[in-house]
Amino acid sequence: MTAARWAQGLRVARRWALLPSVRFAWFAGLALCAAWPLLSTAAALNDFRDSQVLFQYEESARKTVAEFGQIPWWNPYYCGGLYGLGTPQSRFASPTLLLTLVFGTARAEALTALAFLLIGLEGTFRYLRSRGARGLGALLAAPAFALSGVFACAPFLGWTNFYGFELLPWALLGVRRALRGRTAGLALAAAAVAWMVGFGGTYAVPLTAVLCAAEVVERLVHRPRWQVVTAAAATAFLCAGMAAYRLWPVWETLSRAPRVLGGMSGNEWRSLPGLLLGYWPWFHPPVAWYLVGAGVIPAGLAGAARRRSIPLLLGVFACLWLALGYQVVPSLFALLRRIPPYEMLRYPERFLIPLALLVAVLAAKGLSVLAARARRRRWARPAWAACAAVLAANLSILMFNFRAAAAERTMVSPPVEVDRPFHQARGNRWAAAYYGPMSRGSLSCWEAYPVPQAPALRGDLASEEYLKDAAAGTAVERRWSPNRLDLSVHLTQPTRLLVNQNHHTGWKANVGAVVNDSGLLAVDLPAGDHEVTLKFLPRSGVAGGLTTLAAIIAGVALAWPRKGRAALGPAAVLALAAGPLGVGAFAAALMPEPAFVRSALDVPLVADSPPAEARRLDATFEGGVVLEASSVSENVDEHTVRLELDWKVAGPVAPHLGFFLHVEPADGSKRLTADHPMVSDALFLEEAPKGKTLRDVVVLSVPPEHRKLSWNLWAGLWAVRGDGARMKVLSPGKGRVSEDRIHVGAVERK
Amino acid sequence: MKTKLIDLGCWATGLALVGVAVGRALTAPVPPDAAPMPAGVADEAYRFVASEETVMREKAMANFLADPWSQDDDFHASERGRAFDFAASHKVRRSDVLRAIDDGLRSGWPLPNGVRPRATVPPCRPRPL
Repeated sequence: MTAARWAQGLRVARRWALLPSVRFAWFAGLALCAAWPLLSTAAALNDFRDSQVLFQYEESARKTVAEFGQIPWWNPYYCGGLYGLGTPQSRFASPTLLLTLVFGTARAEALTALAFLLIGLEGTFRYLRSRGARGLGALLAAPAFALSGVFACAPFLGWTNFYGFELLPWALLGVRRALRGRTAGLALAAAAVAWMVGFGGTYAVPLTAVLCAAEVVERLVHRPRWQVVTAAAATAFLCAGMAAYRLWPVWETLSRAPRVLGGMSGNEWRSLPGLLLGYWPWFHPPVAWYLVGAGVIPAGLAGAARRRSIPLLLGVFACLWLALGYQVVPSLFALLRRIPPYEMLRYPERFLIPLALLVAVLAAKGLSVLAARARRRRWARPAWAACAAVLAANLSILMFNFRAAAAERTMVSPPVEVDRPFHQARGNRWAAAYYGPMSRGSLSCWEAYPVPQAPALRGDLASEEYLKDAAAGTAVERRWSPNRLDLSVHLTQPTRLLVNQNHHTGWKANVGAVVNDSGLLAVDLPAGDHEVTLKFLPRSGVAGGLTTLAAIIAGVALAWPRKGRAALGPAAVLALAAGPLGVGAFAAALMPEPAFVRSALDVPLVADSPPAEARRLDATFEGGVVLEASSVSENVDEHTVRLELDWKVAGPVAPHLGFFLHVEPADGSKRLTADHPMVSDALFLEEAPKGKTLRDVVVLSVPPEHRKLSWNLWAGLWAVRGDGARMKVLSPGKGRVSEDRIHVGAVERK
Repeated sequence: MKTKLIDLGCWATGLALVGVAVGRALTAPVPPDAAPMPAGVADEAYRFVASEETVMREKAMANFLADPWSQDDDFHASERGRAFDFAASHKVRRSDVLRAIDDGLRSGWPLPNGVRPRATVPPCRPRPL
């Protein structure tokens, strides 16, 4: 082929690739092939335990909107009631809820996957183009990210919210444009981030923020101007504002009930090729979770062999380093986890998801470079053709991964609908999807954060609302709905109305005062006849929604073409972007809400000194913590042992400490552990008041095979949310020391 | 003109492919479910599952010594297994077995050996490790 014909052929192909209609047809075909196994089982329910819970969140939102005509703020169908919008893993706060409402929860899940694949392919194409790739290269390389392993494997576990990562290239594209002075970029980045936040999950947004920050650094290195800094700040403000409808509730929830993650997850170097390139023999038995495919290697190497690719290569290196987690020293992941929101990330290998995007950029640039060289150098033509052919062949590997991952699922028939009055049931979180459709809530609860849940919730009540003093009168439920309860109450004396749901500060009543009764939703009512209406109207939801509305208006103003008019100055852009946050603050100030108070404990958490009957130890640990005393008592009837450890924080305390507790049977059988991160499950050591006794009560269950054995109990401190190291005992006091732990008591049997 | 036609054709192709996807999702078959549970079997299902509650909870105790939520969660995993085993062996719907457990617990259906199922759950405390 002559150089002229070669160049003409490429020009035609490139022109075709730039036509949106051609891309739409091509990407729709790819998305359809990838999602076909999911579409073919769209009517069935994924039986996996996580899927049960996540399906239930979406189905509860659908029921609340479709059957009750309410915004799905409160979800009464799980855990005894929780703030649906504040639960990080629910995904209903997204435009895809429309699909759920139209097609039903199960069928819409597959269509949601298809929609995100399509959006991700186009977003990746545009991002690759923005990084200098030509049309054809971007068209062929886009699937390396948008059809990568995570999107094939996430549905296997029911983790639909991982599809939020498909918006990553859109967010980065917006940031790149914003940093180059195009104000529409701010709106694009903010819309992508807001959608990502609304679609839920705990990884997509934090990882996107890291990559956006990398874009800012890269731009500053090339062009160190203050305009770049103001554009970055404006983008961050608008992102926060547009995402506030969901970000605010999630922040509120996690600040009240922080997700505590310990341990030191990591991956060995040798595991990464399998995760990224697939296993041999391919896909047997495991599917490849972060598959990019070996087909990207030739084009990727061609793209990497350029000086301009240094920032991308640094990004690839950083992602790999992060993905190794704690397996490598020094650990970049450990460093990242020192930043507050990132301490809630557990799995470092998630950084292989953005790595796939960077690899796609390298591959697209590689093809573009070879195409440019082919005009003058003969060797570059076959090289380009070979790289393009291998990249195209890589599609079959990616498609196979989708098929293999979908085949691993256990699909069952969907839950049966039973129309009857709502009640809380003891339920079962392993089968959580079955309860909502049968008008029941599952008290049995699992979440990634400690859901504020009342111990007094019951799954056997005849009425979900009752009086604390039953002799004080009657309470009859007139109307039940997720966000509103209507009751007729007749009282001969003042008393407390209890609702068999969890309390939240967003609940309001038209009569009396809403209170937290050991975690239960309750209303203190005066004597008399009352028509009581309880409504859930959370400040974070309302003010967050208004903030988002204002941010959308600001985003439209920023994106609006300014034909013939002067471009907005940096100060005006910054003011427009930050303005919605002011709207939110104003709305919040107008809508007071009682302060959140953690439920009272059975014993006072903080005391002036240990109980008189406790055994003095006065052992000092490094990290500024003293174990003052301990006491052990056994309840033979209930087969439990109560252990109280009395700690004191003398001065500044090392962050992220937790307690380890070893139970060592005297017969030398296997040691049992009862590690815990908080004092009496309620207070982190670094938050504890100085100089006071902190009463850490642990109730140990005695399993049948241990009921005739004597035990020794040992306790110590370790960096549970850090590197896992034990704190050394600096002074044993009156205690006995072994392996950096103190003997805190024993259960003796004859 | 030719480019416009091709452009139009590509849009139409893309829309048709999306249409195929929607059609496939709408026509995907519902997996065959078992028969509804006969009225008399509910009590048997409840007894089959709930009568083992003490045993299942004691097993969970050994797995999670000082973690009430994990003990309860472990018990619920066993309960689910037992409930779905009953559904499979009696060829009845899973939903109906779960409903029978709820009905039995709520109405206090009698159980052998004085087993008294708990109607409460410990608050959710996911394990930090």
